Amino acid sequence: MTIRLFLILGLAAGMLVADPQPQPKLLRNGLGQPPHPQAMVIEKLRRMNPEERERVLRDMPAGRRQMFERRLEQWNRLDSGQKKKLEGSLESFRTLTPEQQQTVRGLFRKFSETMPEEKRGDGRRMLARLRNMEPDERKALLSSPRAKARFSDSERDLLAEMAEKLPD
Amino acid sequence: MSPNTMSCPLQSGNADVLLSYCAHMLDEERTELIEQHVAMCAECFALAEEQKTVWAALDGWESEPISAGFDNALFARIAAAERSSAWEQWTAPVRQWLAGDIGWKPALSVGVACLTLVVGIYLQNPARPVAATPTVEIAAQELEQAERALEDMEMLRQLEPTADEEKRL
Repeated sequence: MTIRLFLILGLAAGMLVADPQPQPKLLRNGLGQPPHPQAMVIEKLRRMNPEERERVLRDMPAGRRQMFERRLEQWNRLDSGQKKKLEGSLESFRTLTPEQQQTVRGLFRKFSETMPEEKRGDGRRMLARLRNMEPDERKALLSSPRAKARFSDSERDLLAEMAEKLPD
Repeated sequence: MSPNTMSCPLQSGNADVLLSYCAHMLDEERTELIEQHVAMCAECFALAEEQKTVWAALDGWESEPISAGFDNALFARIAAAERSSAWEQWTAPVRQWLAGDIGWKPALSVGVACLTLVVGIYLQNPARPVAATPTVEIAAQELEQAERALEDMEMLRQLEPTADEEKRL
């Protein structure tokens, strides 16, 4: 009886020691491909409880951390379709060289800083149209009286450059 | 057919007839024929004598009398088994094994299977620190990449027209 009891306890202890780690569930990007490693890290962060997240983010400077948490929160609020679309955009963006990526970030900063708030909606619509056009068509659209009436020269130059530099 | 013309059941591969005779399962006419043959054939006689001994032993066997409370005890055990919880039913073999009612062989098989499972799981996760919290194992570099990804996705989102704006395209 005693030997049998020890055998059971030994096996149970062995199974506890060898208990596998719960692997993070792989999220698919809808194309049958595994998700980008960064998307997995974001997902891992999203699933953490407040204590775990605190442990991970405790060394991050306060301002940076606040920004990070705000963006993570925004990401959480997106539905799966929006997330999938953004992940696709990010994948395209990652095909650019680091220098090209930096250029796009600079153009976006300029867009946010120089384009008046009330014009940004029209700016985004114009940018979406320009990105689907050939260079000649872009030039024609940006030279149109309507575009000139809506956007200043520098704003139209910025939109043209963004349309050119942003990935398809 | 006379006993003289009858072929020997043992030599003709028909021993069943002889066994049926010993079990008193033949009709009167065949019984008489076999009886006469057995009286003349030494081999069949020997077999018939052996069979008679067996039948005599079986006829003399008397089963143990059932104790007075057997039926009541049996029904009580059935009722108890039906009332027992699923856990008790599942663990019954283990409890029986611990009590020594079941031998080592089944336990040894289960033990080897468990051991194989443990080794397999361990080999799959050899470097797992026992007390580590898996979800907080994010390297600083990974965190920076995630931060950059979130920043870039925010930028890309702000460059896309909203649903309302898309309708007006």
